[in-house]
Amino acid sequence: MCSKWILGLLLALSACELVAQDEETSNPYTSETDISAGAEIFKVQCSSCHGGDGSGGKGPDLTQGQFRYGSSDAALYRTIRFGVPKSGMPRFGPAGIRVWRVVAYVRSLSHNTRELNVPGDPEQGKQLFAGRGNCTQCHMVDGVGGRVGPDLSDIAWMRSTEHLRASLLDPNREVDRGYRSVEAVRKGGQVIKGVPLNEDPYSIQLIDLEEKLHSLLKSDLEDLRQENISWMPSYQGVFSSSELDNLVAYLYSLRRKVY
Amino acid sequence: MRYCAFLIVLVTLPWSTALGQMTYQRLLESDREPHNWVTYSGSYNGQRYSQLEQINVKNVQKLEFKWAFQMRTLEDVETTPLVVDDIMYLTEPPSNAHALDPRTGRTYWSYKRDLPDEIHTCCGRVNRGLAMLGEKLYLGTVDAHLVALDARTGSVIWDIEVADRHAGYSLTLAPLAVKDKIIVGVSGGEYGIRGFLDAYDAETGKRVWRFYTVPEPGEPGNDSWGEGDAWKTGGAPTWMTGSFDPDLNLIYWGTGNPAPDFNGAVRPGDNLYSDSVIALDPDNGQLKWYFQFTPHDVWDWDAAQIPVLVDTDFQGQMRKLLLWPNRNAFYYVLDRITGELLLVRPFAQQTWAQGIDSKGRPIIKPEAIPTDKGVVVFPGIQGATNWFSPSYSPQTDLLYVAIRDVPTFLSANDVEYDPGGLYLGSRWNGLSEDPSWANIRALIPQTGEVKWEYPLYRDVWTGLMSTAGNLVFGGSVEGQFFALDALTGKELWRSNVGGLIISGPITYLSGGKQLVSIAAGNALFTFGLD
Repeated sequence: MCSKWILGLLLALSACELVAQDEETSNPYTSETDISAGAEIFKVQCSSCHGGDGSGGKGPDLTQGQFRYGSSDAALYRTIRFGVPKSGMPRFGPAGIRVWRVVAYVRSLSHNTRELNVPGDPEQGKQLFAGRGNCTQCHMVDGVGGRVGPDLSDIAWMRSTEHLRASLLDPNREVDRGYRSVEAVRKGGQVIKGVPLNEDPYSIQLIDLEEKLHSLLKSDLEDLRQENISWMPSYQGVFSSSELDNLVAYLYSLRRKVY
Repeated sequence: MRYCAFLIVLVTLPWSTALGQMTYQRLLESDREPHNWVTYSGSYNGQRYSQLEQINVKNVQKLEFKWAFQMRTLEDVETTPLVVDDIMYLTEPPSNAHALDPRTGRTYWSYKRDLPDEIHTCCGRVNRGLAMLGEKLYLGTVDAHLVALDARTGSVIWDIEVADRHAGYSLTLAPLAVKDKIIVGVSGGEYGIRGFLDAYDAETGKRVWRFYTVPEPGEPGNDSWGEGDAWKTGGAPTWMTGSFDPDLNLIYWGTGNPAPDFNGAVRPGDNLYSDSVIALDPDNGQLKWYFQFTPHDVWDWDAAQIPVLVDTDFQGQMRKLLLWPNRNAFYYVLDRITGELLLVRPFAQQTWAQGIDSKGRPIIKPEAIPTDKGVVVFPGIQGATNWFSPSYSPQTDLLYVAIRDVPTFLSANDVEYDPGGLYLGSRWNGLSEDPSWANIRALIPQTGEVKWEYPLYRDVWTGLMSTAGNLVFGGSVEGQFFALDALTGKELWRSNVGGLIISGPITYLSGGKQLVSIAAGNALFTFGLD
């Protein structure tokens, strides 16, 4: 009976502590030890989306020093602890020191801060994007543009300037599975080129380069080629270095505020 | 090399945005494309009739299962899909949407809406379908938003709040696209909302007009709510899709119950425009005429039926008719130019009215009015029919209706309005010795007489669809999907799909073959020949 009371008391105290952790407004765990411990947690729980170095992947780039759902310690804690509905960011779990240590580690990644000057003129980059670059053919920004490539309305939250530049020069360096190239050859020779939407053993659904939806039975196909390369052309040699700067500066300006 | 080819493609292809465009002209001429199903009711006239006849009385016995689309939901699936240019668009409750290949049931894309915890829906977090215009799909959500989705990707193009969900508003209906506008109504009659019908610019989501179904002081009809503030919480939602007559340039929309549902003492008067059909100019939302089926309703008999527009012979004269089997168990024929009542007679069992006078006003039996001790009344609170679609076949000139002969015991009790809380004023229940029956009836539109009847068990929630194959499709609450002979009511085929059917069937062509789809349980089932 007595041990039950003690256990109850411990649980109550533990609950109080967890509540207290949620109410902290600045990170009480910022030592090197905390950052190292946070890095270990990050590696296991966060890196599959945010990249091993935090520079982004399926999830946003965390090296910019500002964060989409709030940049204060409390906001970061909230984002990690409770997740972000609809975004794919799951809740991390119970309140406490582990969350704060991840906050400490994420803070330590902020080496690409926005205060650093991004070379290039975003306005000129915008003109290249819509004009000579023909980027709107495949990419949408704020509701305008194509659907075959990723929507870039928030790309600045997702990728560093280095990453953007590298992707422009070598689009195949990292291709999201949903944007890999598909070529389906119908019996009779008709070729349909696009990106995949859905697939099972008997059929594949894709959106072609004219943005038309197709659902194809594999038994109707002569060939089905899917490669982990992008339909996007490389801009190596197409743009000068300063033009690339302008384009990257424009892309790095694309970040809608949500808080 | 690949990139060169890609660049050539970029340069040479038209990159047309006209692919799959659902223009207003196409909606107007939907009878030219029976291979599609382009609006909630299949066409603007609300008939839910298809000209397709590959599947007909001679071969329907060979109808076989083709595919199912399972939904990740525990809510009732009340959806009617659209099929446009060989793509099916359908909603999944609570407020999600999918694009499918109608030949295989495989998904092109899905839109999943994150919803807040606080949602006020009286009767399930449901959705009944989409509207399409241009390359956009329009989705009403249970958190009372209207969302425009890109039909090719499911991406959100715009998302606007129609009303405050905290006050009990939600959207469960399929919107209606008319000209360049999206017409959308609200649910919330059980929460003391003030009902309205809205029109939004299809391109931008900006509101163009709003028609309040409960007039404010100074407006005609406000005096039908007594002298207090009852109008502010008067209900009269617009929770089912209306119909449209382009020649008359009028939309017809049913309105729901006044609030509180069962205690009429707090809202003395007829309570306009609850339980009515309103005829509005779609360009500006101006009221042209109205007809109220159940003035001062205390039984919850929303006029949430699909308005069925029919041009046919009536007493020797071609008339533009509005056919309306109402939840209150009376069948009405109105002149849809003027709203004049042409015919009224019961089409199901009723114990509440001695009759309806020549102006359309019911002569109410005092013993049917709920008291604090309670009364038993036919039809029950779910009505003789409800929101599920009737169907009219121009081929047979018959109107098909799913009918509930189900009574309710209900009382009238005091109730206080609390924003976002139920505002009903009653307790009710079915009867232990329940004499309920349901059936499908074919009515002769000009007289309301019953041509044939197909008996069901104790309840029904199915929409109906008639086809040029001389068939009527519908389903039972037990999960039997059936096809009846449209002329005789004889059952020609049925299949057990194993779940509640609370939706309307559709038919279309895919790969040149006619298919029939119906939602049941938590899935959509599709059948075809071969």
